[in-house]
Amino acid sequence: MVAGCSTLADAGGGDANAPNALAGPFREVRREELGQGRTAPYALRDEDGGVRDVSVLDDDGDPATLGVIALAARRGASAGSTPDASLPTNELVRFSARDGRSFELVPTVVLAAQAAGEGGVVGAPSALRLADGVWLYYAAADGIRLAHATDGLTFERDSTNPVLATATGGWDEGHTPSSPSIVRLPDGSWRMFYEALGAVGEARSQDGRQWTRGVEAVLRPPDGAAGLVAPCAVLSRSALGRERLWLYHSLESADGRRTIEVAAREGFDGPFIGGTATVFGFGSELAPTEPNVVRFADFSLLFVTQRAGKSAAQAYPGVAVGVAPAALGLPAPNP
Amino acid sequence: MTAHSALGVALGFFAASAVSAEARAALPESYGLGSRAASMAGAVGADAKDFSAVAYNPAGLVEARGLSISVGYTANFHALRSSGGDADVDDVRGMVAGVVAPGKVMGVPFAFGVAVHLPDSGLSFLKARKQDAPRFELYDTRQQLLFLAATLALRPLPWLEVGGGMGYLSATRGRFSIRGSANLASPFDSALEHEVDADLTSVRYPILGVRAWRKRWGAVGVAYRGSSQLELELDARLAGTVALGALAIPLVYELEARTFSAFTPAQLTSSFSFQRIANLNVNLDLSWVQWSAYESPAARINAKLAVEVPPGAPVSLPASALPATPTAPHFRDRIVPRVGVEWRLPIGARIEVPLRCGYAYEASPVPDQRGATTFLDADRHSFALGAGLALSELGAVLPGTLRFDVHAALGVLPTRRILKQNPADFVGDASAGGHIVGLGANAELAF
Repeated sequence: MVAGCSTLADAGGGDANAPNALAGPFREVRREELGQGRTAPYALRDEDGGVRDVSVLDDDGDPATLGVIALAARRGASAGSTPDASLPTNELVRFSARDGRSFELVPTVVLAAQAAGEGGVVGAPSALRLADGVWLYYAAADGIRLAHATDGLTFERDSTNPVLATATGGWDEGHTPSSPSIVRLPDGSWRMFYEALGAVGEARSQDGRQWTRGVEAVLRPPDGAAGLVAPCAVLSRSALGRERLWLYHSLESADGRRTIEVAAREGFDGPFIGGTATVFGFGSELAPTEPNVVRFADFSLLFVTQRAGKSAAQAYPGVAVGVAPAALGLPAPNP
Repeated sequence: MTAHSALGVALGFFAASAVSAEARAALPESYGLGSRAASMAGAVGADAKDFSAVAYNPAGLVEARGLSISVGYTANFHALRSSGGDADVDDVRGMVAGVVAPGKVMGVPFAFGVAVHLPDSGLSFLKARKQDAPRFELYDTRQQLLFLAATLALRPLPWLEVGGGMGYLSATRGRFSIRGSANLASPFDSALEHEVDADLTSVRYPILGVRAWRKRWGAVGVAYRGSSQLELELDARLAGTVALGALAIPLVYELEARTFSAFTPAQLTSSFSFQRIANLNVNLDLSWVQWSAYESPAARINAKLAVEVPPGAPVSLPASALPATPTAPHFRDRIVPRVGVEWRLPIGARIEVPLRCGYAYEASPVPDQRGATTFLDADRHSFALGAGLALSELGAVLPGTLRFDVHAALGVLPTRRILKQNPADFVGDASAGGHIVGLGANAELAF
């Protein structure tokens, strides 16, 4: 006689608290992880009027809490017309979310393209929370500009604008920088990473206003790629206390596909070394770009601008959300 | 037991095991087998004479004076930490049991022994992870297997004992096939057939030992255990048609996966048991453990997708997956010293109280994890204590000896720092360490 039985094994232990740099790869958030009636993985989409290029900021600077504010660009609607998402963005809007990703449905316009030199364009915001309020860098027609708001809502343009104008020499001579990402180092100095000529440049500052460009691009596309754009710099400290400067970016292939990649630097100087895998968008046809990463205590969220869907009718942009570690389930959305 | 009956038991067992594909085994080397051996930190290669000799040096079985049956329980609690957090590595708990049956064949003393460790969690538990997933490779699911071994021993000369036998593992080969038609628009109209074909095949590894006695001094021994690992094979084939509206798209998808798991390294142990002083055994074992033969547990995957997409069909294929080739782990061989002391305290003519202690140092075989893999491990210092009670000649019903043994062990893994070479490593810097607490008890009835 032969007899047998079987049971389903449990998953077993050994995977709890596994070391993870919280830097990726990211998976798309799931339907049950996104509140406010949003359609996963999109934290912002058509109902938000073509919002794109988000910069997400921890609202209290405490990574243990999930509250964030997001500053995003969009094409504002003219009176009596619907916004045209194919045109350059001309206003920056502010959303907030208590859970880090489920943004409120009605944003507040915080900055419109009105100043001379902006050329009717404001976009690609990069915001920092400092002791005196929020510093907001953004791209305009004449370069990278800066505005401040002590309350995070009422932004005043800096008198030194543009803080990084069209290059008059160096590797990006004659080109206007765009898509800025700014971090402030522990020693109080500043770094800006920006896009020019399909590569990423770096500038340094002691006060956030006066910037000095590097003599060379710090990150260039590999052979066969069309461009390496939209940098997003993130500071972190490893489990053993080593400082890291992560630089997320969008890599454009020759056939028009885009993926989100990352490189990192040991400390704050020296060369960037590429990650071992794509962090988001591998095999995707939605062409993700403009990555923005916000780190919490146990996970990181990645926000990217990508097509709202594969169909021709969904060619407008949306902001999708990813989470790392990919194996982690996010806490329930709020609300 | 008579010589014929002992031999019959032995031959019967070997005959059964030779055709048993389901036998599975993994040596609980990390925690000791039986409380006597565990309380001396495993330093019993020249001094094991109960069922634990099956694992440590089968030549020692021939020391048994009569049939003995042992049964016990051991529990080992992991408190292993990675980067400051509890890694939640499963505890290893289970029953241990063994039988030793001595006898004589043509005047030559011999003995047969069998030993088993049956984990509470089941007969076998394996877990496959991605290559870059951090793991305590030496303590995680590798230990969640049934240990089973059987050996024979002979004493051809009064001062010489030799023994040998086999340990057992089972390997799995599987084939999974799907064919038919899948309708994406109307899944209920799909017509798919599947076929699963799985085989369990046994893997055997040798256990050999020799021991020589010198009167009044003690014994020296050498024992060898072959390496073993489970090879899991999975072949999958999906062949059929995917219906998308009016389109019928034929496709063939083939997947081959090969995984090694539950590796136990080959080990050569030289042992010395100093027994010059009455009632005192001082044991020293030195083991060479061939961890350099360790193969990556990551799956070797080869996948092929062949699809004929009609021109103009709104279907895009994913990028082809490259064959996954695991990174060689480059583990290092290690020399493990073990020291054990047993002092037997006689209380009258029929009662004996043995007290034991032991220490072992196991240098981590895992090299610095600066690259793609993150095998978490650290050197291990094992401290063990134990005691027993032996009651002899309790009467006509029990003319032999009844023994009880208990042990407690503490394994300390000092924190090891893992510094990644690539600052963009997704695992990042980490630390590994912690401790392991082992408890156990054994009862042996020797006739």
